[in-house]
Amino acid sequence: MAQYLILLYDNEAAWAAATPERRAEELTNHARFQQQLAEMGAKNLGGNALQPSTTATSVRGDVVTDGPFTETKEALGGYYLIEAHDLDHALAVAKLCPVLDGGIEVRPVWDVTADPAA
Amino acid sequence: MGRDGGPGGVTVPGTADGDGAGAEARSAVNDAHRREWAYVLAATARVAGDLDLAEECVQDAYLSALEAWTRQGVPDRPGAWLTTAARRRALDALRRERTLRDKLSLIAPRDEAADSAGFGDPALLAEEDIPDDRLRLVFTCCHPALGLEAQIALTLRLVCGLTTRQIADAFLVSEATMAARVTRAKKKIAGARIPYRIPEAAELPDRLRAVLAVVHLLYTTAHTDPSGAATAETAPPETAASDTTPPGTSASDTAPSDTVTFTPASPVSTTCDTVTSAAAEPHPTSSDTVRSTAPTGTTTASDTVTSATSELHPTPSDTVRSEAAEPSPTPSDTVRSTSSTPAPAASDTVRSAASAAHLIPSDTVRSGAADFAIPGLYRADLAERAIDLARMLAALMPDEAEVRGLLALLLLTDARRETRVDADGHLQLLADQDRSRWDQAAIAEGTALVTGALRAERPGRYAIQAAIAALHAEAPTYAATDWPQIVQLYGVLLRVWPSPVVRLNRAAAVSMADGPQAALAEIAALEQDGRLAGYRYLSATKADLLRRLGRFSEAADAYEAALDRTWGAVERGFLERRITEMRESALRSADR
Repeated sequence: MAQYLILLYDNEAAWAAATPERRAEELTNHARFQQQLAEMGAKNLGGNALQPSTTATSVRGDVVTDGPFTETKEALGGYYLIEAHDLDHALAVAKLCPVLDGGIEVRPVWDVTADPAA
Repeated sequence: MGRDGGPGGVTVPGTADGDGAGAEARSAVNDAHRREWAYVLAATARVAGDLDLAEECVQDAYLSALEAWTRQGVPDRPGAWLTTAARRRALDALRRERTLRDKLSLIAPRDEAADSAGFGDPALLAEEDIPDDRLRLVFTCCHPALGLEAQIALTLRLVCGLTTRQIADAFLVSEATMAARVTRAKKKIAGARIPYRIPEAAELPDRLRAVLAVVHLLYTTAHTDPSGAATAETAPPETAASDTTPPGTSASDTAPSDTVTFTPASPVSTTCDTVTSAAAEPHPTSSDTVRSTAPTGTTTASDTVTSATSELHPTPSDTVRSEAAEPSPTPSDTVRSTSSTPAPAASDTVRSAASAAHLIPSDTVRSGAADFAIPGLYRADLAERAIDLARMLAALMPDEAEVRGLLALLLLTDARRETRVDADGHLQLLADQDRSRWDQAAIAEGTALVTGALRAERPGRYAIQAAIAALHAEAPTYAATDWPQIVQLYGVLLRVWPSPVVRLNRAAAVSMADGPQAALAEIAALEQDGRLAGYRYLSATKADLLRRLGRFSEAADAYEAALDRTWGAVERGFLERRITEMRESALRSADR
């Protein structure tokens, strides 16, 4: 098994504009996704939704600035850390992950102890 | 042996030339390199658990084969000999580096994870029973998580055994660029754990489509003259939209398979003697115009929509180039990059490497553009490699009709390769080609394949394009081609592949079956559609129809519109001549 970080890039404007019902629905979708993930033989090692990128603070060297590190239309809105057999397995899981008018990025976690030189 | 040097140039040091056993061994090694590389590497990769290590071990095995075979004679099964040798080396290397325990700890529990990753299964070490893992290798190289360029580079390097240098030359990038591309792709396979496995049934259609697209793109690249002077007869490219969401299931569902009535060598009833010239005008390279109208951008592979009617739709391999050039309005950034490689030097090196691996067929120099004769040379070799790959896939996946369809398409297109360019390097229209020089063996093989492939439940686009190519190949003359059947096949093709470019090709066929007036209506519809706005083959086709209708002044305008979007010298020359003719004809008819 290998670990992958599933990064959810949502359209923050869409989320801000969503009705309470729509938001509740999205949360239900995530609950279902977590169930599906387990059914597919992957492991959910943890995940979180993030506050909007307007709450982000960036630090570069000593300089502290308001805002996320990179400004994009779709901002990182949450993540799951999962364990999967391989990339195909992780991608199959990621395809089921709910995301609001955006997309998903799948990144393998670098196991520094096993492969420090990668 | 440098990893970056790659596997392809099995140079064969140290044996005396006159030595009979040495010569025999050398020839056997070269032969095994061409035929068995993929098999040996694929089987070794499973043991090595790592493509880099596997490559190194396989190359070692080839080198040791030369010496061993000179001494002991060539074994009955060279592939098995090489595989055993390479796998032993892989194991030794794993032990020596003392990574064996680490690597096996990933594997040893024999959990699902290790099995699914597919690398490094120790149960496979039994020497007698070497599995054929070539499909695993192919599907790994063509994994959609890799960029298209990386897929192509890996396929050529790992499946075909070419060196990085050879691949770089074929794609007109520097060796360093190609090496970086290959390294990046291999790192992604290892780092992201792209599995070494044949996709499951559910994924197979999509994944196979990606593999076939790579093979097809290799072939069309071989016929794309980098200078923009078309030497190809393949079609213009498509937009990503229609390729990645291709046959749209609904569309293909509605295409009843029995509508494909392909009758090879059917009696010719149509006579279009009045139309002796090409149905279609030169449709040379590049697709930037089409691309710019497609918001999604990436052009795809390939699309030989035509090989047929218009003969002139060379395929731009923009996808291949796109790394260098984003939306480049000029023919090719890649062309520029060639100039950084001193051609003669490059040619020497590659030629010597190639002669070791039988890379370059002796008659390959046929590029019309002298400046690019050298890249053209290597590109021609890509065509053979693509056909080899298609053959291999057809043998490994005998139940996949579309694989046979692709092989048929490549064979039928390739059958005309000797006549595509005349002695002066000028493009020859299909109408003007010397049909007696077409490769009859390739035509017969392709036609037999296509007949089988069309019997599939839902024939795919390669099979249908191959059927069209077969009709051309069998026609005694251009005029005596079975145009009505070709029009019909384009109709079927449109259903599995609803693309305006296919429709344009269909219009060209309609002009031969039903006359230019009927085709003009099609062109008008395409102009309305708008997706081909700015696409010069649309203007060029329209111009040709108007010319044939005697509407010279309008034809000249349309040729000019095409000329505005054409940069290739051969192409431009053709269009300029036409414009002059049209203006003169327009004047003469005005005088009357």
